[in-house]
Amino acid sequence: MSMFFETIRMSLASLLHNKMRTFLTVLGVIIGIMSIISLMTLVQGATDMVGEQLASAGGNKLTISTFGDQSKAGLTEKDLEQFEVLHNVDYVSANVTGKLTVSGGGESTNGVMVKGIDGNYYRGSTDVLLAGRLLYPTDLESQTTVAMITSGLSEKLFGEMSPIGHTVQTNGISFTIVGVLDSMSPSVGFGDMLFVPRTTASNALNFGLIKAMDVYLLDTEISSETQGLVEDTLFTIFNENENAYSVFDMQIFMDMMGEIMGTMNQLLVGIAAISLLVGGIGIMNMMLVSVSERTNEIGLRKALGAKPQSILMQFVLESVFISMLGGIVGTILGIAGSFAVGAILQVTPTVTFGVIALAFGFSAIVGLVFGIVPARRASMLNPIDALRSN
Amino acid sequence: MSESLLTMTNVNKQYIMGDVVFQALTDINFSVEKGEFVSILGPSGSGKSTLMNILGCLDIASSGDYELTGSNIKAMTENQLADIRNKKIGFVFQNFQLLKKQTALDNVMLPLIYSGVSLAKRRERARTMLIEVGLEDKIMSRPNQLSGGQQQRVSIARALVTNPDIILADEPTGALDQKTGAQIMDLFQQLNKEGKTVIMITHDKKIALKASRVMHIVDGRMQKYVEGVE
Ligand SMILES: Nc1ncnc2c1ncn2[C@@H]1O[C@H](COP(=O)(O)OP(=O)(O)OP(=O)(O)O)[C@@H](O)[C@H]1O
Ligand SMILES: [Mg+2]
Repeated sequence: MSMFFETIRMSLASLLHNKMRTFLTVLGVIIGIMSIISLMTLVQGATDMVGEQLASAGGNKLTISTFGDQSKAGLTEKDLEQFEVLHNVDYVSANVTGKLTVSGGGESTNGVMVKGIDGNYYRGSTDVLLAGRLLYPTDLESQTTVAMITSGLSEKLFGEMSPIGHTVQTNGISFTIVGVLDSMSPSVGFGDMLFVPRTTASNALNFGLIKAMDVYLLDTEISSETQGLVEDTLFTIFNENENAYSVFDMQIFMDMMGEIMGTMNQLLVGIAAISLLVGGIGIMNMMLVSVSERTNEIGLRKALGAKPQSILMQFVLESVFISMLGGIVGTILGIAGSFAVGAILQVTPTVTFGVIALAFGFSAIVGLVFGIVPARRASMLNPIDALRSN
Repeated sequence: MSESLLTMTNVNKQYIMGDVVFQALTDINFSVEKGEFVSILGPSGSGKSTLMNILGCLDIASSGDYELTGSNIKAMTENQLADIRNKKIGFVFQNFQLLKKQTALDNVMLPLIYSGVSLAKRRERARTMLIEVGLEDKIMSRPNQLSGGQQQRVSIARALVTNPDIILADEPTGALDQKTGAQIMDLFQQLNKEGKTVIMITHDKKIALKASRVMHIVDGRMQKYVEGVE
């Protein structure tokens, strides 16, 4: 054991003695590890971000669109109840939409998306309520004429003034505004929107039957099973016409995304690994030079009782040290770099213990692999020849 | 009669270069007893270093037997030879062979690394050895801060530090002026008086005659030195 520490001491001393050369050699590994680390953390960060966005858009739901046919144009309020009782269904949220001209505050805007929603609409969303309140189930039951307005539309109609309590008119119906929703909310996009009770929209605004519905799941692991149950129910409702509806599982899409990002990650890391290979060749080159420069020293050590394996270990360790040193510096620079680039790209890099462990493992392996040839050469030197060499 | 430390029986050494065979040593029969101070005298190219390499287990005889403290060197593995060099033999080289980047202390500690001695013990023993060869004020000096005689003292300290059975010195005064050379010879004589076995190789008759027994080697053949025969 004392021999092992002694070998470490000798390796470090020799590396420190040739600071400039060591630094230049280490640079190759630094660049390699730095690119691997920064690429991996950035791609992982981007993957996590996309994943989060998709999840907030509904990773735990099945999205149903109905196209209807002559016999049945869409879903009724009563049809919805059939889905609520299915196994693994948490709740459903259905809506009806139309594009209408909305006026109020003396102004008027056309092409406004008017959405008839229910009390569950906001349970699965991350939309931001700026003022007032959401729609209540009682609004649906009594088909009240209240509405929520997006902040962008409110500004167009009412300017700086709070729209709460004021009314807007559309399709000849007057709605009292009870809430303001941030236009930047995920489900809003960048358009102007007006949210009203679904029942009011279906009837008073003549939007008719339900064309879109989200079925929220308790357990996403068994989403395909639930999808089967939902499809069976739709099949019955639409008189066995499969073309009248479609069911989209967000989870499948997210899994696919994850796979694509994973492949991309591997590809990028593969490319970065090539630069590490170049770094490794640099180490091998330096070690070969070092062995031939120190032929005399090796011969002396052997004459004084060093076994081939001690010499081998001395040089392998030296090479592993350089490489690991590059690994450490490269990891630090790589993380710093990925945060710098991430700040520009607005991506938060994901730094995991695994990535760091991988970088260290990689650099150790590079040192080992590229150090073994020069070290073997050193260990096999004939002490008589080696002693003569100065 | 005291016990025999090493014995060479019919040792031959050939160097083979392509299809040229060079006979460097021929029928060497030679033994050294414990506590002796033997010098091997011979002109340049006579095979002194070749003999020293075999005595020091750095090389193996082409034929014949070499027994060192009872074991036959022919049967040894490379690792066993390394152990023998480490524990039984102390080398003193003509050109000192010190590590230039390291202090006298580090240089003297070097063989002990390969004996598995702990750092603290290595330091202590190397320091004791350096004091013994008269270098107490040069312990932390590097070779380029030392005179030739001092460097050779460091290398003698290094040869002694493992407490070996034999000190093997190849032209230990070859790189030194006469006065310093004489001082180094005094040191060897003193070590011999303290009980160390010393085998010294030299081409200098005056130096050789300081030993208690002088062997003569000419063209790879060895015999007892007789005054007047060159
Ligand atoms: N590795 C080798 N290959 C071939 N020939 C060798 C080798 N080593 C030594 N010789 C030859 O063997 C002979 C003896 O060499 P050696 O080095 O033993 O002489 P030496 O007595 O030590 O001489 P010097 O006093 O000059 O050091 C020389 O002729 C030399 O050329
Ligand atoms: Mg010689």
